[in-house]
Amino acid sequence: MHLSLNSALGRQRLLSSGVPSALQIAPGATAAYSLRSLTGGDPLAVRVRRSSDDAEADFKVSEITSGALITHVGSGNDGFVTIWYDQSGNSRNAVPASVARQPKIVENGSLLSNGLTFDGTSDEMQMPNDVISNINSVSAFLVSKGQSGSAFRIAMVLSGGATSLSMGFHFLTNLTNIYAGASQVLGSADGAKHLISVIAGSSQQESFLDGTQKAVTSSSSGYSAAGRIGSGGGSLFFSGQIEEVIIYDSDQSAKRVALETNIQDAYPTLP
Amino acid sequence: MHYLIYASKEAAIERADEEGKDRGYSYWIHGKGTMRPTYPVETNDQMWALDVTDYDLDDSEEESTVDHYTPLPNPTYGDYTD
Repeated sequence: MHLSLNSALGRQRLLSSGVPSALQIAPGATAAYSLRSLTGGDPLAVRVRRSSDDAEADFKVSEITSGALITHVGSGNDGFVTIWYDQSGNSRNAVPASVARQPKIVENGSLLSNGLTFDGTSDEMQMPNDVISNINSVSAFLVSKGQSGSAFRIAMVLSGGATSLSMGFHFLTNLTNIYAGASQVLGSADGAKHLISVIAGSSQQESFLDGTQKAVTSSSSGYSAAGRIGSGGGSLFFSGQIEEVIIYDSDQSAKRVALETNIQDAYPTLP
Repeated sequence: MHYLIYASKEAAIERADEEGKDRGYSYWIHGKGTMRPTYPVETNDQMWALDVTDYDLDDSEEESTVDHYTPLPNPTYGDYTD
């Protein structure tokens, strides 16, 4: 019997932690961003620029929890994310195009809660154009906390134009997804943290809020590169926090429940 | 706010990158991280506006700045209704 090194390492990580990681439960992500470990190891999570002198440094997950990130930023300073590292192993890092677009992670020397904070004015991170290839074969999981009340903002977009796929779209007083140009209401924009999921296969597409199905429709085919976290692509900037994004260029229906359970366990304040 | 208006996105990015290099941003030293202070925005007349409010401008640039521009219209609710 042959066991690959990756399999052996994955098994070892599983045994050492006792709990399988998100990417052990559902391997093969095209991109995965978080401040926690999605791999079971101690991956790079973020690169951070401090406001006092623009000095930057990379931080692993353990260095966020140990306080090393806070030490780098320094007392009274702010810290901004210049790279949100892809934990999938595909190096599809999410990057802001300029200083003005960098989301905040530390404010006045303290780590902000609920992930990266997007200011609703100009903050957004760009994902590589090949993050997905078709909206008829995609799965995406988003943990975000937007504002409440009426607004017109988008937490994440994966595809544009007639083949649009947007998630966490704060549309008036509703929280919605957009699939192939059509709006799917998930619930009210209540200002709470939510897990928003999209699964699309060859025949149907589904949207979920906190693990509960909210919409199902026939799949559409096509893709127009537009990957952004924190906006609709240079407009409709998101106001709130984004804590985790996991994307598959494939239908993960069979593993959706297990992955969502992992995510919900990791963020106890999720409904 | 002060803006320089460019005919192409590439020219505006080139100016933004020059400012980023002058400031010693991480990308130009370490090959990753922050590249530039601001990023151009498309205008309503197919030009590109670069926010240069905090840039170190030369005399020619100083004379060319404008204090406002008309951006492309943002999407509206109607763009997303069936």
